[in-house]
Amino acid sequence: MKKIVLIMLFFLLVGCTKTQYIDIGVVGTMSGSASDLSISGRRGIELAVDKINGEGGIDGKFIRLVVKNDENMPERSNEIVTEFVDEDIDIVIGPYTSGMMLSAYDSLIENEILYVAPTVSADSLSFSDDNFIRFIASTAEQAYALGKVANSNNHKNFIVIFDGNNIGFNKMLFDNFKSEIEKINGEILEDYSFKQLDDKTIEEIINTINNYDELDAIFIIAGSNDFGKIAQNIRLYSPEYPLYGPLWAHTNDLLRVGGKSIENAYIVSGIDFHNSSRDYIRVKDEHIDKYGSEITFAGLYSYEAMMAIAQAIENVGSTDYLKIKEEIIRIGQFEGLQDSFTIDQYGDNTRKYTVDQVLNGRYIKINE
Amino acid sequence: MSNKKLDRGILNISIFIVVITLLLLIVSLFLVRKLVLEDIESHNLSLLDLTYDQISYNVEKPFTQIEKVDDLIEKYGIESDVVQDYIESFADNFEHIDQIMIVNNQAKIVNITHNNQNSLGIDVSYESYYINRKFKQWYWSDVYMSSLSGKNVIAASNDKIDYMLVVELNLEELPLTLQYKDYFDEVISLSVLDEFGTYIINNNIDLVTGRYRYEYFDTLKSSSTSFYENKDTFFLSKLNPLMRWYIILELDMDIIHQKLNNMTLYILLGWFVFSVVLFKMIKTYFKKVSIGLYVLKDHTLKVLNQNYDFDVEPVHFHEFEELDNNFRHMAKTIDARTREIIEMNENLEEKIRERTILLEESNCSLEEEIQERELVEEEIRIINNNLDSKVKERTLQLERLNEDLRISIKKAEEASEAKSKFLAVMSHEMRTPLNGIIGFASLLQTNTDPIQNSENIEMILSSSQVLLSLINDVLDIAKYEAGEMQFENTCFNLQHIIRDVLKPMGSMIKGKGLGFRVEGFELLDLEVIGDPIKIRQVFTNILNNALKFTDDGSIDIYFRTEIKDQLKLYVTIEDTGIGMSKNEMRTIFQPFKQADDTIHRMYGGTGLGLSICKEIVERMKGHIQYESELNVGTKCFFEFTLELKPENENVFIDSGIHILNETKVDRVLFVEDHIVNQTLMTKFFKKYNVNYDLAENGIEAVELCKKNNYDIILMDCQMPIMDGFEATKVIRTFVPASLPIIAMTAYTSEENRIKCLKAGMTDYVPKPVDLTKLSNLLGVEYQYLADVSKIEINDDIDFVKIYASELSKKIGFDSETCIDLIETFKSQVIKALTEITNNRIANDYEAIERLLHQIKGASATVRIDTIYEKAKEAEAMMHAKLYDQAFVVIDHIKMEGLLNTSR
Repeated sequence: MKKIVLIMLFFLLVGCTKTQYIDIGVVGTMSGSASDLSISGRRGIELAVDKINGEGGIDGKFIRLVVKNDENMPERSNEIVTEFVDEDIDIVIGPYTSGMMLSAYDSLIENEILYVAPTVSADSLSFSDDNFIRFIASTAEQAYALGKVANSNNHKNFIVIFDGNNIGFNKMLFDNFKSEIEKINGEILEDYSFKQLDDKTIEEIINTINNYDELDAIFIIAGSNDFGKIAQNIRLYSPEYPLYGPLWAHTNDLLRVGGKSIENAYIVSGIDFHNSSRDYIRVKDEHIDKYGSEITFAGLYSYEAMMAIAQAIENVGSTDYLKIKEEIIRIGQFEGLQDSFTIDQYGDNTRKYTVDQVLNGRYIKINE
Repeated sequence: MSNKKLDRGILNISIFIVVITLLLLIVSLFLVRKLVLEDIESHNLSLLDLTYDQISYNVEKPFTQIEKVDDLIEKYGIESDVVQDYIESFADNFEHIDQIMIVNNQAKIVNITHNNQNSLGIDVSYESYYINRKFKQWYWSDVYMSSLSGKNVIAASNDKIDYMLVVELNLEELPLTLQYKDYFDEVISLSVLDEFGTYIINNNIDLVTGRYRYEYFDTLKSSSTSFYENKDTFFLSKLNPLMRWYIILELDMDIIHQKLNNMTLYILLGWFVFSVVLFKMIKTYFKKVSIGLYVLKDHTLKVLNQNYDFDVEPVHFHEFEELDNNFRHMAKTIDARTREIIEMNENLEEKIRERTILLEESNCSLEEEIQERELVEEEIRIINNNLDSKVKERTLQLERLNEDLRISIKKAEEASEAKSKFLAVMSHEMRTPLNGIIGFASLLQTNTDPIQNSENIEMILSSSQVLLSLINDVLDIAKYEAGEMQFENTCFNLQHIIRDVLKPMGSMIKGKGLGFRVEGFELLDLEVIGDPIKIRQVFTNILNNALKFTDDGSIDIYFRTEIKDQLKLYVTIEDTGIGMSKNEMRTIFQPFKQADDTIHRMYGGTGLGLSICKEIVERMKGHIQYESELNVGTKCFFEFTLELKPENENVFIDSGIHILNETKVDRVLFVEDHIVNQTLMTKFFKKYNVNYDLAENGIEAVELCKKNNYDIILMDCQMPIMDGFEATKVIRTFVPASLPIIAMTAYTSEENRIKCLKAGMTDYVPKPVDLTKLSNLLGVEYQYLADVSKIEINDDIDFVKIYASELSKKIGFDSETCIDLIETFKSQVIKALTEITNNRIANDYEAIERLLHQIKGASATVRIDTIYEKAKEAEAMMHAKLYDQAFVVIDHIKMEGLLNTSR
């Protein structure tokens, strides 16, 4: 009898010490040509989780990631919200593009779930008290940053080519950019939206560009892969116009795909690769060790988002989506890997962007 | 006794076997599982090796060929078309080789396959394969997206100092080089990882395109073994040292477990089937065994219920068959034994019943005896209670007796003195006549003178008369003294007797010159019953005294009678003699006393006369007294009582029957209880054709008398229930006095005779009955029919015939009847003797006396004197309470020859 009691006690203690997890959702475009941003972000989250779990988790609970691939499909993105809700997941990091965010948005506000998007910057999502927090500044900030560069370069006449799939972000960026250009007496000569980047589309883009003689620069609002392809075609069939790109395109793939065609291009940057902050260097080294490549801004923002969420969970002792959101807003000021940033009462990031120029196949920060 | 059942035992053994097999099963399952796991590991390791070889063939081999571009570069220059063609050939031949680039030492792409001019001159210094390039070794980059195809690729760089070779492998094409189709069921995936753990090859292309890192890569890297197991998966890994690629074979633990479970299930199923078959076999076998057992059990039950006959029932085993056969034989044997026992029991029960009846009978007798004893005890108790008063009474009596004794002693002393005087007187009185006789007799002897002799003879006679008178008186007084004076009861005429006395006395008185006067003599003409001799003696004595003492004057006699039921006679004899003084008067009735010695000397006499008279008168319920005056005279008064003779009654004559019937009587009632007498008398009646009824006791006699009219009744006196005297008294109340009732009795004393008369009997016949007299009584002619010659006496112990012969002679009956009588007598006596023995035990002496009386009577009837005398003697002894002596005599009776022979 004594033995049985001891055995039962043993199992009870083992049961008590069983690892408890906090499930955090991750959603992004994990495959296909637009997957670079999401994969980079996911890797940043993974590094943050490695750090948190390596230090004993949050109140003894380990973070476990549930990764879902929206395949860059709006309906899939919408479904995923419900999937997370069904799986009792309160907090999700992602998605990584504004288009996917907008697709999920209707479903999102109907459910009790918090989306923390490290790279979504569409202005249409700003200033609303919703269950959505972004760790990137609004598109207006990108437009503002690029507007400043255009002004200094005296680029006034732009053709804007934008990915119609990511209309939430792209249209917003276009509008913001337009207004910034118009501030400096510039003009958007034409805007071209595409859905599928095939030979016909490329031909139309080239024709559009070749229609204007007084063109100063081209603003391509697209992911790194599309950006690179368009850039290569422009280089082949058009004069060499300066190219402007959004933060979204600021990836290593852009350099690899774009090659020589993106030399001198201006790309919005959210990361300073030469930052000497100790935390940044550590994370950067860890990233190379673990993934064999440099960390990107998506990775960096995702890392910071995960850390902020962990801090909030630790503070409130819960994963309740509303409490976490309120706690993140309450904290407001966060120490990032490279600099501090704030989250306003609407859950919007007030981080400042910089602009990099591709020089010799590398991103170089433009000295302001 | 074990309470375990056979089926339970077999079940237990079966369970034991099953448990053992189950244990073996568990052990074997454990071993088999281990073996299966080892097998899975080994064949999957083979798969791993195969994959490794294929990768080596499809990746390493072309890469070595690509390295040979070195010669062409040296010969034709780095940017030459020859070089471009050379590398192009690889890209064309190997689907999975996406691009091959040649990078100069300024990190610019200088030559590239597919003539990808856009990429020419691109700086790759930021690329990991450039940063981490190795001299004359292949360095594998991380997975990235190809700028050419937009597909996930992995690049390998090889630094040749002057230039660097970069080969991009298309990760979507690369898996096709592997033979996926031959995967084992349990294989989830076959993966190839780069050195960072990112998927290069996986059947889930998402993992490759999504550039996922293998979840357990860190564990794998840090693990020293080539396999790792967690709850869901089991993987095997192999590192390609050249490419630092990890080949991972991930196995689904669920499938492995399912396989193991399936196998376990099959084994369990097999075990279950085995168990079921085993159970079935055991059950079948046990059923067969149990049929045998139940048949046997059934048969035992039948035997228990005493059913020993049962059929052969089929059983499965030879042993049971044999057992059943034996059992049936055994049952039959038991059956036979049981029947024997039942028979024996029945006999036994019969015996017990008989014994029980006997016991019940003896119990009844015992109960009766106990009741009698209780009655006796009750009597004893009463007697005891009365004893005290009796003792007191007796004490008083004794005191009185003592007083009487003292008086008696005094009287005896006086008597002794008187006797001495008497002897003196007697010797003188007797000597005087004797002397006279002797003297005159001697004179006769010598004297021859006839005259003188005549006087002498007269003197002798006179003296003899005196002597005789003297002796008579002495004898009388002796009888009186001894109390043995016998009185006869004779019927006589009183006047006649007294006249017989007065006549001679009167002449003597007158002869003396005295006056003699008798008054009241006429009153005496009465028939009375009494002893006439004694009456005569009283008158003679008193008159003799008066005559003796009276010399002149007269002697007068006065009679007076008083008749009630009896006659009382008053007599006064008055003389004018010498008279007596008062002193003399006191002693005159004492024997041997005379008024005065001088008187004796003057008048002679023994002085016994008055004593005798007084005794006689008193015995006759009378009284005597004298009044006397000296020299004046004496008056003697006496009276006595006599029975008057009943007017209607005949007078008995000494020896019985005086009645003679002239005609034959028609009907006789014969009352007799004793069977021997009954036999004799019935034979008698039959012989003389006399109608008779037999009554065995008084009551029967009374009843018969009421019903019938008899000419004569012959009545036995001693009978049970109601004796003859009582019966006669009853009968006399309703039959006329003329009907003769003749007593038949062995008691012939006067007392008995008077008893008979008083009871109303007419006459009596003494037993044994004189048949001649009886014939007369019944008015038949006696016939002597003795035929002794018919009796053949073969030897001198044939007592029946001897006695029968004698009886025949005595009673004149035929021999056959006599033999019959003797036989009846014999059996009756034996029966009576047995009863005597029983009564002796019970101390019933009266009964014994009665039985002895019966024996006496019966033996008289059959004229066997020896037995009669002994019975009579014994009866007398019993009557005198001399029991011991009586039983000695009874024993002598038992020893009589007749009673001790079978014939």
